[in-house]
Amino acid sequence: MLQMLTARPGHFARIAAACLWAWPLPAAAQDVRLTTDRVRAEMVLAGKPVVIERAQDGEATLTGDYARTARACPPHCITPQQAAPGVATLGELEVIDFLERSVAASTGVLIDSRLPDAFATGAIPGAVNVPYATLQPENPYREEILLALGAVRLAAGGFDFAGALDVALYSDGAWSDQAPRAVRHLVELGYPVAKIRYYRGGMQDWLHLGLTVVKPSVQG
Amino acid sequence: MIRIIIGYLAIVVAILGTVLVDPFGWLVTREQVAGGQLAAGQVAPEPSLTAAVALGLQAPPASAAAEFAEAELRVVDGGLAGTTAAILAGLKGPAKPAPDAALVAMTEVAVSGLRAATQPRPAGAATLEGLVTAALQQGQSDASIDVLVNEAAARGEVVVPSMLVTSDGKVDTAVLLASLLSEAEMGEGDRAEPDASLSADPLVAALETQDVIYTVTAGDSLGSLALRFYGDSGLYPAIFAANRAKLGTADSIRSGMRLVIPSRAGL
Repeated sequence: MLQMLTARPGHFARIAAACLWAWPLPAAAQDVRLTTDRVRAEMVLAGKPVVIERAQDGEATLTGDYARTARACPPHCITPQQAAPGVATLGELEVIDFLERSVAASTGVLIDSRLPDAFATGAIPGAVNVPYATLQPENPYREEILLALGAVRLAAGGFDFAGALDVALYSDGAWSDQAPRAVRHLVELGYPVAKIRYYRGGMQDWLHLGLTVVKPSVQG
Repeated sequence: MIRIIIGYLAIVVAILGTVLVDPFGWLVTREQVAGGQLAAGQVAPEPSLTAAVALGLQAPPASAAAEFAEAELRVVDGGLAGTTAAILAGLKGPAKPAPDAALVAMTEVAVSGLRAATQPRPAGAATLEGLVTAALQQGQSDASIDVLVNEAAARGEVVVPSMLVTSDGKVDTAVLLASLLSEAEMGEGDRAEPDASLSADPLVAALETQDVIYTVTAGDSLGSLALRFYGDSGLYPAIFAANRAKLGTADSIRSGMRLVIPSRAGL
């Protein structure tokens, strides 16, 4: 019965501890919460249980590529807060909210705009890799992406986006132009700005807060 | 001996040749000689001769002629401009389909990823509700539904709402079934009548006017407490909120915990 919680290690540890030590045992508090009132976010995305919480190790620091503070600009320049007029910019809580409300309900999709090799190193749970390059005008197949996002091709040309999914895009972080470019391409293609969101903090800010990251298996 | 003298002369002629042309031309000539190639018309005829002789110095005489011939053939075939154009064309040729292929692959992966992420789930598959609904339709008993749900939860197949996790880490299927039942009754238009047994419980009676302290026993979940004290498992957030200091999450309820049950008047 205890195995039911193996997907949530903190929980398992707590129950295991309760078995070994005095019973009953007051719950060990999770010190690093999402917010004062919220320890973790739990949801089901595409039929799979997803838990988003923060790393509890108080000594942890960023390592690897996302720990870097200097990158040549151009191309890695500081991006504006807004990716395009009318496109909302999200913080981490809004990204979690988007996952819980829109993605879980299959009315939205979280898009990782990085290239596949970067995506493979780790991504926000539930994100789908749609590299920015696939939305560039140079890609003769980019309309396939629109169709997969729920746009409907009109006989007269162009697309009907009424039934299209809400999308939230992110890339490496505030120094990455990949997500803003993807946002601009979507806007060029006629995607309604009200259906587009931009998480500017991207992977770097997500990791910096110790939030759950998943290593995507081969997508598709 | 004669060969050495000719070689010496060749070197002198080569130096003279390089002095006569611009340094860039010399560089190109030298590189091409090193590569066994000769540029036509650059410092002809002397450099051609010197190059051939220089090659002859390094290689056996028999192959010198052959290399010279080969070098001449290459010269005839194309000058520097022609070579550059050919290289560029060669680079452009095979490289052009490459980005397309990469784009196609990326697009395909993206599209299949989007489809997988947004496809509506088949009804009843891998959700707690679906599992219980299917079991109810099969006419399974409450006890067997309890086993079924707990096994599925243990395998990680279904996500269990935290308010349904009991003090001993199980899934409170009794509350789940009760809430399904009350929803079904509501759906049929029957207003859920206040349960007569509710007021028979002295704790519940006291709750009408004041908060009470309740000690958690095995098998309790926040949902079951809300059902017991308020007659509606959906009111569990009130109990959760009143005990935030003790409960990090709604599923961290443990036997022996003393929880505040807020008065019904305050709901």
